[in-house]
Amino acid sequence: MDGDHETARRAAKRAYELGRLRAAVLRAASIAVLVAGAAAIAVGMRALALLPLTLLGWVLIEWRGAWLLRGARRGLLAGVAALFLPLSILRPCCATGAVDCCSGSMPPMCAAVGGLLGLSLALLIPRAPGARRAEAALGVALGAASVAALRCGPLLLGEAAGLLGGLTAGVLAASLARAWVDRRHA
Amino acid sequence: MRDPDEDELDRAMARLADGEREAFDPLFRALHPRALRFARARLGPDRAEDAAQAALVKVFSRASEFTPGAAVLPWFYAVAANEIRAVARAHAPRDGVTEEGAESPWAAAPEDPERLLLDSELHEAMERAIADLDEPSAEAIGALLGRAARPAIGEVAFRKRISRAYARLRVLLGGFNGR
Repeated sequence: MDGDHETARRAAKRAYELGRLRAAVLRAASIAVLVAGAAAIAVGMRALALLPLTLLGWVLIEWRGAWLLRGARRGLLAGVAALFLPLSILRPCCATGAVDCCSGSMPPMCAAVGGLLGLSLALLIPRAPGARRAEAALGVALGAASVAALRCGPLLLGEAAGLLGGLTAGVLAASLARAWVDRRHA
Repeated sequence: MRDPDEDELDRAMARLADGEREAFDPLFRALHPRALRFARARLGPDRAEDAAQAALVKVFSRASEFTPGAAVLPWFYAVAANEIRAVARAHAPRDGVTEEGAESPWAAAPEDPERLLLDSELHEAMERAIADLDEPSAEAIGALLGRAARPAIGEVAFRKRISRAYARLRVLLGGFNGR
């Protein structure tokens, strides 16, 4: 009887995960289409080269759901808003008037700006229960990165990674700080 | 361990739909015996395990489409009934049972305690779905069941209303966004 129960439990769990994955692919595809539209308007068609990354990221986010998804939705909104900001604000490493922005110049600056952006994005983290805060923070970072990756498409891989790494580190640092402040006030 | 009440089940399914995996085990523990009871009452003990598993697989594969705020049990029994009927049909030719035979509902006797428990829960699930209907539809179903006076409308209009009420009931029992 226990064996039957366990077999049925495993089959149901597998069905649940597969069902989530199926639904996640559909939802991620609609998000990717919207992001592609925004990126094409703000950056141009070349931004679409990295769209599969956005799609993949959102399949993962939608499949996991819960706090990762709640955070990612906010990150997505921030990312789309950032798409329409002038490059001079987000990318001080660009040479003035450069067509091929950032190529070979000051990649650490991209990471620093990413960190600063991450700190401001940390304000958007949903108020998750303590144990889930890191998940929500990661969601914000992933959501923002899923859009930022398109803008950074023309960059060299190292510079893009610096930006995304800085963004993630910034969000996580601010989230930990907020958790620490909350604990002191609790 | 205490069996969760219906509101707790509704909340657990809403959490699971949201991606909270912690809600899976309590929900499975609550639904597995119900699926088994239902399958045993409809098909007898031999095929009950397989049919219950098929029903649970179907329920959980669609869990992430569940609309928070909807009632789980009416939807669960609607899905389980479909799966159990499918299992009965699949076995019908081999067992020499006709399609009507497969449709003829119960393997368990009416006084069987498991069936009595199941009947009461099915009844409650249906009442809950009817209570969620809009007023004209609930009135029409009530009249059909002989619990309320028939609304003062013509025969054709009444039949149309019944048909709409059935459609809404199907949506409610579906538990999902209009599906």
